[in-house]
Amino acid sequence: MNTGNFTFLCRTKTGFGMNALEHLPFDLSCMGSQKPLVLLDNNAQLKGCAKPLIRAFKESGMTLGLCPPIDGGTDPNIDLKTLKNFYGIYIDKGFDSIIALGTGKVADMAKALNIAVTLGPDTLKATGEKTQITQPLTPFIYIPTGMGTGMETDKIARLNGKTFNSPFLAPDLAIIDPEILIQDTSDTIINAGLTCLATCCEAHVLSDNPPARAYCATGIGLIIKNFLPLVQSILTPEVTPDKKTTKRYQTNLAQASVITGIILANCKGLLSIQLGRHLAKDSTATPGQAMTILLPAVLDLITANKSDLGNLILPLSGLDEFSSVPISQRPALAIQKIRSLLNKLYQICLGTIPRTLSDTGVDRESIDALVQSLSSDPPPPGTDIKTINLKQAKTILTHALDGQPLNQAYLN
Amino acid sequence: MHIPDYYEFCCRVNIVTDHHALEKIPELLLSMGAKNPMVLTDKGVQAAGLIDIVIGAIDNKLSIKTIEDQVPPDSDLKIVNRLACVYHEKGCDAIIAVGGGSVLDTAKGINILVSEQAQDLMQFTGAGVLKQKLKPLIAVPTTAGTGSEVTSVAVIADHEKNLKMLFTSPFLLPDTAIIDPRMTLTLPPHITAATAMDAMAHAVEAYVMLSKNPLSDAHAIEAIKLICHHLVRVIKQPSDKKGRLALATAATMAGIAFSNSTVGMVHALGHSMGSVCHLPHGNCMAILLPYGLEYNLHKVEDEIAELLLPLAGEEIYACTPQKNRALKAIACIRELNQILNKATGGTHPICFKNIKDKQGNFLVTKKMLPEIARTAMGDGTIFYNPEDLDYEDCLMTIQAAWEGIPLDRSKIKQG
Ligand SMILES: [Fe+2]
Repeated sequence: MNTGNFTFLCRTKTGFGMNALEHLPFDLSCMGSQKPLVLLDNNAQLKGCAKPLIRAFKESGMTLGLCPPIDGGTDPNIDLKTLKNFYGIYIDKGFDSIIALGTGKVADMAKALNIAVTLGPDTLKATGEKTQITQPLTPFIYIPTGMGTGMETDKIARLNGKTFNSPFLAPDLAIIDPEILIQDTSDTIINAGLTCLATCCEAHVLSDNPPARAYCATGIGLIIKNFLPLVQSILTPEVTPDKKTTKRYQTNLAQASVITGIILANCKGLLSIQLGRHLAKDSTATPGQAMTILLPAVLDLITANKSDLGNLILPLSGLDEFSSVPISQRPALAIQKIRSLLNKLYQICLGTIPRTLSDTGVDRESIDALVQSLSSDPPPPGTDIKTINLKQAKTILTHALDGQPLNQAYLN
Repeated sequence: MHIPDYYEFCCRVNIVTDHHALEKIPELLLSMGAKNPMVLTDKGVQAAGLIDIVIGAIDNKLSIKTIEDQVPPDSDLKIVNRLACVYHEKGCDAIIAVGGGSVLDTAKGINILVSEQAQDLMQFTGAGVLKQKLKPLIAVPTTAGTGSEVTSVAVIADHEKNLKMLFTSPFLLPDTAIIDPRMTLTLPPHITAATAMDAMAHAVEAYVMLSKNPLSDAHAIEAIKLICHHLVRVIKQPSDKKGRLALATAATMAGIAFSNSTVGMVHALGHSMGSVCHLPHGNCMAILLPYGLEYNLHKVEDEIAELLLPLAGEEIYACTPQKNRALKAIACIRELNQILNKATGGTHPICFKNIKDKQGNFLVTKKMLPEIARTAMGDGTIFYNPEDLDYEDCLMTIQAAWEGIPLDRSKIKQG
């Protein structure tokens, strides 16, 4: 095992577990902040997520400001009028840090607000070189209320089609407190869980980056132990475990989601992620589902050193299975483990989840068109995303069609 | 996977690992808005020609204001104060610290004074006193061991008042750690072995302490795997650049692991060995590590058993019955010490009575052991140990480590 040339940077400190929120006032004061402004969405507002947060600040002597809740709906665009309004509140009232209480859109809004309050609102209008952020921003805390998109802890900020990319955009602190987590829908959990799985698996196999591998192994372990049980507990209430156990699943999965963002920020050009996002636009699959459907073929095709693929058994199945399976059998088993997880999910979801590309409505005839559309969908400027090799993409899509092994030798 | 009720994990250091990582220093500093660095190091590093390599890599892309090589082996308040003045006088705006633990500690101390525009370091002691980002600091470790390039702690000794000041703050973390194999390429085999075993002790202790968490565990495992895979090869083939890079990476990973978990009795005993007998820290770690694990075995048997996999590989792990795995893991560390001893022509010690000066006198005499045990009782790291230690237990452990015989586990006072 070698370590290649690599860089790794995670500016986000994680506080995880019981009463994690209680540590927040101290952490903020260590960052020189006394007056945080909280952004949240209407669902978090409705479910009373702000209450435990307010309670945590009760005896801190700090002033906590609460913005009016934003619409957390499915529209990925940020309402600029709202952003302007928040900017006004922040500046007029002299706030000195930002807390995003929520997932996805709240985090995006918080990142945009952070750029505006630190570097001036004109920076948001900048293009090209000028979008580069090279200095620390205002302290930014991310408190997920659920599993999120896995991109909240990434170093990328998306603002209505524009992308800002800087390590300074990642949260300074992510706090995962079971008390603040609300029950996600099974759709959200499935999409987020599968996004985590694909991200951590591909990065574990393909990046010669020991710190990233350590994060990936942790992320995979959390997914394996908590993902299917949580989905099952929501979809089959008659076998739902006690509240405490469900909460533990949720908290551990939220941690996996935070890890996913950190991986995305450090491992460039993950093929299953890029292809999956693209495929989700043209099929019935969600991004997470598409990524996991493509993942086996991606791993099979791209892995130059098959022992790296075999090593995936360790986080996927644990010490005993890893050490007892012959090296020659590990790569095939690793891929089978991923497929089995998807198949099991199909069963739990009573067939409403695709296991293969054909399940998503794509057929052999439409693959060429899909590949073509890839070339006309270049990666957004400002991201580290590589342009996809179209020939590779075709091979992957073809083999994901029925979920067949790429290399038949693995079957023997 | 052990998930505690609550844990924190943080390592904000940008880790740059590359066979040509040094060449990236100018770009990294410029991106932080600095271009007039002070290069800080010690006489040994300077004499080994490492500063020449660093300067060559920077290649006039920065205006190096001064090169200071006066850092003593044990950090010193007076030096910190003096160098902070030099920093101001020469118009520096960043520090590049090239060296081991003491150079890093000194750099962190200087950085507090110059960033806070302060005269008195004392007012910043303790935890969380610093409130804002300090000036840019780039760490270039030259021994693959201490991990201080990724710790948020600094220890500065005030020799006049005879006290050690401890500083803890996330702002003490260097901005960037430059891991470049050229910095460790010329380390002699016995120092390579000692420093790698220090890193090994960081990873192993981080993994078996109660304060562990899933992320510190994963970092520890990666570090142990890398050390086991590369250490003996590098000792036998010192010019193995890939192996050097892997060992340096492992040391950084182990540093991240223990700074997000803790270290325990191996370090408590090792620190006091160091202060009473002035032994190299890495040698103490290599000798004491199996004893620390033996002592804690009944408390953390499962954790030690899991370490057999990275230590010995999957074949041995699978073929060892579960109940024997922990003892086997400890035996593996002893065996590694034996191999290192042989590969270094006997200079890597496997017990304290092995260590002699040039005249053949013991560096650690049996008479010193009670004082060492007493000093260890006052070491902060002893509180995190899974099993409590009293004076007798400390003494018993170092007596066994002196002789090089396994610990008599029946005598441990189990709490
Ligand atoms: Fe150490």
